[in-house]
Amino acid sequence: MTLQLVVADACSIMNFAPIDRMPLLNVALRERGRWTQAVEGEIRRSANTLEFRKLSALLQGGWLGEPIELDSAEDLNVVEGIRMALGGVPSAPRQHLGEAESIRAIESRPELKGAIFLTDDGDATYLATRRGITVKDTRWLISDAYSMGDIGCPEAYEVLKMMTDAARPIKLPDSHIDICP
Amino acid sequence: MKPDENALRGRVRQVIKETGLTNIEFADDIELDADKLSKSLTGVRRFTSYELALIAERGRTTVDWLLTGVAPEKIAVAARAQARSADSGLEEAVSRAREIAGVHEILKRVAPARDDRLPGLPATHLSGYAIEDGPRLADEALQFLQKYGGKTEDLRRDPATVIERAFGIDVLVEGFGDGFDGLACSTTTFRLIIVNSRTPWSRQRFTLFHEWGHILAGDGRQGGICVDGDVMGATDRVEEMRANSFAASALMPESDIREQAREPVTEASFAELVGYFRVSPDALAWRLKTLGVISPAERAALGAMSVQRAAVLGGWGAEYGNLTRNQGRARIPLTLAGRAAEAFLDGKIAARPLATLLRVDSSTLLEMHSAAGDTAADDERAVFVP
Repeated sequence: MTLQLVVADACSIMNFAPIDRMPLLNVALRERGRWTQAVEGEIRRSANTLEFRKLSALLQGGWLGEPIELDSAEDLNVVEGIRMALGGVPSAPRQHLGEAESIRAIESRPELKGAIFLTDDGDATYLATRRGITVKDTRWLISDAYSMGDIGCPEAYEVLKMMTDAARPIKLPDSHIDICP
Repeated sequence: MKPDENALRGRVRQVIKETGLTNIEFADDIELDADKLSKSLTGVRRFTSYELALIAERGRTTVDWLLTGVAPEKIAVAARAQARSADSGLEEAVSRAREIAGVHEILKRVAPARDDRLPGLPATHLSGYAIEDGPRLADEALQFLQKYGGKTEDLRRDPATVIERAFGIDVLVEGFGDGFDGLACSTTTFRLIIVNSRTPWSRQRFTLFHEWGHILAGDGRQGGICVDGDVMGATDRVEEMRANSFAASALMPESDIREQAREPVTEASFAELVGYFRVSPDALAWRLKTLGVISPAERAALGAMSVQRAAVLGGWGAEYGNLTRNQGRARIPLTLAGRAAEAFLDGKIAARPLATLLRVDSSTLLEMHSAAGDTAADDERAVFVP
């Protein structure tokens, strides 16, 4: 069976840093995780801040492999178009670049065919879904980790609760049953 | 739109040169690998999307310029307005104009209309004399409107929609802080008027026509913004005098006045006319005096009438009530909003550009969109999405 790869967006990766659970991200991704150059750049910059300093574990551990680089003439044009479709304005070239690169990478790289786009950004979810990409969020990742025995109940739910308490933009389910049925 | 790689490298070199840094310093400055930058500049490897974004950001340009060499049309505040931009209303409005222009750019790039060209505007030779140019510009605008099937009656009733449809000018009416009446700006692909809804309705109407006059006269072309803190305040400049003279002539066309105004003008007939044109008594009195319908003394007496008295005396009290109750209502540019909504529903754009236009959070639009498909119709139970 081919491993279904997961292309992770910065916002989802960052959910694990303020609650000091970066190792859980690594376990939950189970070597399926990939990232693009812009996402890696955003993580690198965020790791320099106090709130997200724990991201350095990811940078040192190399859990997501070499960042995917998009460099063909078509890539450059399409990425900028997707970035703008996500609401990025021309005068702020890095705005929504990570999401745009992730969508383009899944659409164009043969090795990422059928890959999951992991994001908690509503706009990126909408656009990627409309383009035929499978999109999942942090709730799914934690639930998946539970189903694989990487995390127990009610800890799985509590992790999500800690993320929302840390003002991370995830939707907390009503009950732990939604995460660990 | 595939970039010419040689030209792309040339533009990156130009950005680096303009910073005054060496290639190594530049790479260090934007946290790029100097070796990769060097290889990209010599064509050994290609630039990536992330690297271009960093380069564009440092060079204060856009990725599309690096890719194509086509410079973006910028919305810039004219120096005279900048001096006053400390006023909160002005600053907010200019920033809002940039947001609207951003939505326009996004749609142009990812969901272009079948025909993105703006309708032509009446070509007018300006003499430089505001008092002559304003009325002539108004006549030509009204003739242009009629030529393309527009009605002056509609212009009187719903000027924003008529101006938007016939002249391709987006009209936004929204609440801004003090010190701001309206602004106008245009590029080759975009025309916008913003009016402050926190002013009385008669002033909003005058401001809309004043800004329309700016656009028709070509003031603030090529992205320059004409910002008006007080449309009546800067009467020492030709373009402001011309815009005011245009506004008076287009709001109260001479032919209409001659037809409606029965001489001698009495208090009651004057009050009726105020309601007919939906202007302030003062504006109408000046207009009648300019056209020689009333004397300077009559202008002073009639112009001092309050709008409430005009409404009662003129028999348009209910209309006055409606206008006053709704004067703070916002209006979004309908054509632009329609295009953004269509692009969103087609999956060509996310919710953010439309949300920016509507001034709501994008999550609100996304929730409404997903909720609409959640509930299957069931005639037995009253299930609906509120």
